[in-house]
Amino acid sequence: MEDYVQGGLLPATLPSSFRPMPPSSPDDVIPDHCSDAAAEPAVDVRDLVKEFSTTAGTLVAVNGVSMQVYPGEVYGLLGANGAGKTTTLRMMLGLQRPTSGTVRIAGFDVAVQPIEVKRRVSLVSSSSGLYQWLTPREIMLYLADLYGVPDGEAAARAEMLADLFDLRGFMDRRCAGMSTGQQQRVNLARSLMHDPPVVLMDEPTRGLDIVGSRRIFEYTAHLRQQGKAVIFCTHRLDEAQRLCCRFGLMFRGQLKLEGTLADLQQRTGREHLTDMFLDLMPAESSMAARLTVLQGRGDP
Amino acid sequence: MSTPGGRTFDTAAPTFRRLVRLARKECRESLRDRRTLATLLLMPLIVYPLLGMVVQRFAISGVSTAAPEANVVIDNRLSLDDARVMLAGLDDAEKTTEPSSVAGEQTSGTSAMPAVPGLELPLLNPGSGRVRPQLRVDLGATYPVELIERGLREGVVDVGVVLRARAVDAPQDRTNTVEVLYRAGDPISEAAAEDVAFRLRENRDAAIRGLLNRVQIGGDALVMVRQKGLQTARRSESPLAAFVPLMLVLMTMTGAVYPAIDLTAGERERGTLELLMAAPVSRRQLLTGKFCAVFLVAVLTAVINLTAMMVTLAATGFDRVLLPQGIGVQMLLQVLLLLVVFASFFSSVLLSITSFARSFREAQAWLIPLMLVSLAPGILSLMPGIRLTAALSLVPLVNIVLLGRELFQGIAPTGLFLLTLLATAGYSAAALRLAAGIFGSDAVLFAADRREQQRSASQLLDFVPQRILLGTLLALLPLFAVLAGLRGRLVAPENTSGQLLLSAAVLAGVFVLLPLVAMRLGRVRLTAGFQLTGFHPVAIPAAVLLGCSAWVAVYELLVLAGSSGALQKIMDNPALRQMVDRLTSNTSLPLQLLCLAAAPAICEELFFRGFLWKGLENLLPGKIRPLLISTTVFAAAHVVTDASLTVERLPGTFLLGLLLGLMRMQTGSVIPGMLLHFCNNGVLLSLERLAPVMRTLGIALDVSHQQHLPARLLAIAGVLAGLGVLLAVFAVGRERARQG
Repeated sequence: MEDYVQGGLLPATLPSSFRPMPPSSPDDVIPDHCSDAAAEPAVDVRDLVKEFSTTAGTLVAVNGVSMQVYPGEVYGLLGANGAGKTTTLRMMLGLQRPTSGTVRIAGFDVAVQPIEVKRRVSLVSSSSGLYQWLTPREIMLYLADLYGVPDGEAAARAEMLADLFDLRGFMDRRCAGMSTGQQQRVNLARSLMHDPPVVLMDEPTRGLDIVGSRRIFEYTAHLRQQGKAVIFCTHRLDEAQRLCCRFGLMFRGQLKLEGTLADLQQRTGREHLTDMFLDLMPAESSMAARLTVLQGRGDP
Repeated sequence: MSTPGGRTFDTAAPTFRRLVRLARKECRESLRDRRTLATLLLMPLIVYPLLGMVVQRFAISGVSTAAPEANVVIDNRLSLDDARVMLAGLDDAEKTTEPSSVAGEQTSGTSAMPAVPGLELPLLNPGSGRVRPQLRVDLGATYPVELIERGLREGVVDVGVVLRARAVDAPQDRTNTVEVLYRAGDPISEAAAEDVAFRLRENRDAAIRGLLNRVQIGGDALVMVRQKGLQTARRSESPLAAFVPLMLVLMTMTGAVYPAIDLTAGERERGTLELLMAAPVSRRQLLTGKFCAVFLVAVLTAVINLTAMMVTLAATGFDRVLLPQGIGVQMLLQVLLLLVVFASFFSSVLLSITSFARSFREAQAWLIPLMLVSLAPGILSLMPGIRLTAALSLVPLVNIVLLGRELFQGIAPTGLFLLTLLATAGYSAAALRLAAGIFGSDAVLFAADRREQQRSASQLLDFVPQRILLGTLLALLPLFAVLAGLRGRLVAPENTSGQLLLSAAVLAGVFVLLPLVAMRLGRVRLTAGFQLTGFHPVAIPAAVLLGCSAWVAVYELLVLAGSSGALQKIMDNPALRQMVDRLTSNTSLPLQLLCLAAAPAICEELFFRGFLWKGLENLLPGKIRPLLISTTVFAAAHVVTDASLTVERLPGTFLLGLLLGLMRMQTGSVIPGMLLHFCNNGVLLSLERLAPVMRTLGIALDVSHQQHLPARLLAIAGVLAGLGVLLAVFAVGRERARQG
């Protein structure tokens, strides 16, 4: 477990501004507070719709989603595969054009000022890769340049993030020869090079082992501590329940439920997000319902 | 600037600086990749020396030993001694069993190709480019003239030297006249006869000179004529001359392929493309950075290949065979400039194709057909007799290979050199612009998601995915070539009706059947893919009116634009004239209307304004780019006729295509365009028959002088066109109102 440093996955000897909350157990990363909702939302989504026209009619991938995420808040955007989570994130980032609705990031409308929006957002995705022939330092400086970070500051931030994510030993080695864990740390580090106020995380723990997943939890806690607005997009409801301040449950393109865990528990009478989500699904789609139908037909 | 929870930096940094850094990163990434380096360095360093060795050892010597022989026999009325004197020089070694090359002797005085040390090269006949035969002179016996002539007829003898009878009216003439007989039409026999005649003249002159010297008669009035071939560039064109630039072009292409795939499809496969798209940098800037890297690698490949090739040629001695002008600095610089421009063009084309692909493997699959398609014009330029013309200067790749060949020969005209460079640079810019539209677009980035969403709902696609579009476009030309070739074989040229019907069938096969099959395979709904949708019925009379008047508008626009030269060329173009005459003679008007108006109208509209437009629409947002690109392709397709390329047709068909495209854009359907297209073609086919009707209206139609059409015809066409536009606007407005 070389990645563990003094009980946590991130090194302890860091500049104070980059120190994450020091968790000693997975439960410690559970947020003890949510941000001040009276502040201006860092992410403001209103009536977002994405339609794809088909010959049989219109396929609505995202249907009237509205949400606000505030600085220092980790918002869990949850749902099954194909629920519309990734499409929503892409529209927030300006990678896909909404059919209707608006997305404002730090006050900038993504449809009107996409470049301003992109300057303020970082994307962390399970599918993100690294340039195999470049070193972590080169990648970080390259991305810093794309985001307009001045050279001197970029170099200083690269050093600081190298300490934060324990990249010192391979900062100048090409990524092609690095382990999965090392590549993941580089990926997380590069996402902070331009110090974005908003971080979008798309299924960040997909395919990771327990060590990798824990690193993501710590990273998310660090972002929250830094006052960043985080949207954590996942279909793993258990991990979301441990990480996020508020939740939005998407089903077939719609945001069916939204609120803090306590709010949702009160409204649904369920303790766990998983049970709440299963309640959203139509009865006929459950395995138990299908088995009942089969039994009724006399099939084995 | 500070934002809660983070900071923002000024990304409006100097564009050039940003571009340099983008390009630097892409170059660094590409040049560190061992696979790129292997293509860049190892390939040329290994391929050329190996190729040189192989050619030197096998190919050339193989050709040399297989050089044709020609048998030379002597008339029995000539004594063998006289024959030996007359043909001295042909029989040095001699000869009945050891054939010698006369041409080798001519080398000094005339124009044979220089011999490569240590090699027997096939020698070319001066000026003709034919292989010179080796002569086998039979000086062991003489033969009767009848036997010689029979031998010539039967191919046993190639050249006969016979004595011509003295003229009866000049008994005092003591000189002999010999005839060199050969088989007319046989290049071996003709070339051998040239050599024998040359030697006879040389020896005769030498004999006269000796006699005059002996009797000490002479003076300025006596002139001995000798032939001397001057070293000219055109003289000794080797069939391998075009191989050099073709090889360079192919190697440059090969060098650019890997980085182009890696920086686009590879980036997507590795998962880094989405990060780039999420960065506050325009797609155009990102693509320009990638273009710089691919371009740099392509140029480096070109430089290394050019160097390796020249060194190999010099070392093996082939430079004297393939490059008559030798290897000069100016020539090398010109070739390098040509390759640089070509590298720019091909890099752009590669990027626009690889930007489609979702993975490295898919990009490779796309590029294999591209390379094969690219080979075709390159190989075409290897054909003897094809020279760079102004029209060919505009044909991509062909222009580069032909110009390269002429540069190596030192005969490239400056005007065509510049025209080729400009045209290629223009194509490069257009391809780069297209690539910028495709690279990282919604349709490409998330096409799989969209397809998946529709498939999960078991629905047919209502758009033409890029793979279907590209695949069809790549298959189109070969299919056209095959079908057009079959047409020529199935029906005799004089059977004009059959030719017409088969032309229509070829159109249907290429423009309807091919996309139809592709769409079926790709699960695309056919009515959507062909844009066979509903429209307001008023669009029908609008299309008819516009179709009947369109040719007048196109004609007048060309005249107004001062393109009467182009019109003249269209009228005078023999290929076009021949084609039209051939197809329209001896056929009924209904058949002509069916095959030359209805079939093109239906097939071309389904393809250009239906399938192609739909595919472009999926790739490039907006309506203008699909309109312009489909119109350009439509116009370019009409440049190809049976016999030749008729570039002169370009402006007229472009204008017609634009009109058809606007009709499709406004009505949202290809059907009104079909009517317009049919009426346009139909009126043009019926002009001759309409002439009497026009005369009754006081219109004397004469388009042969390329001047403005009669005012009355213009007025009628103007009214029809205006009415058509009004109806079209009305139809579009009503249809939009109906759709809410």
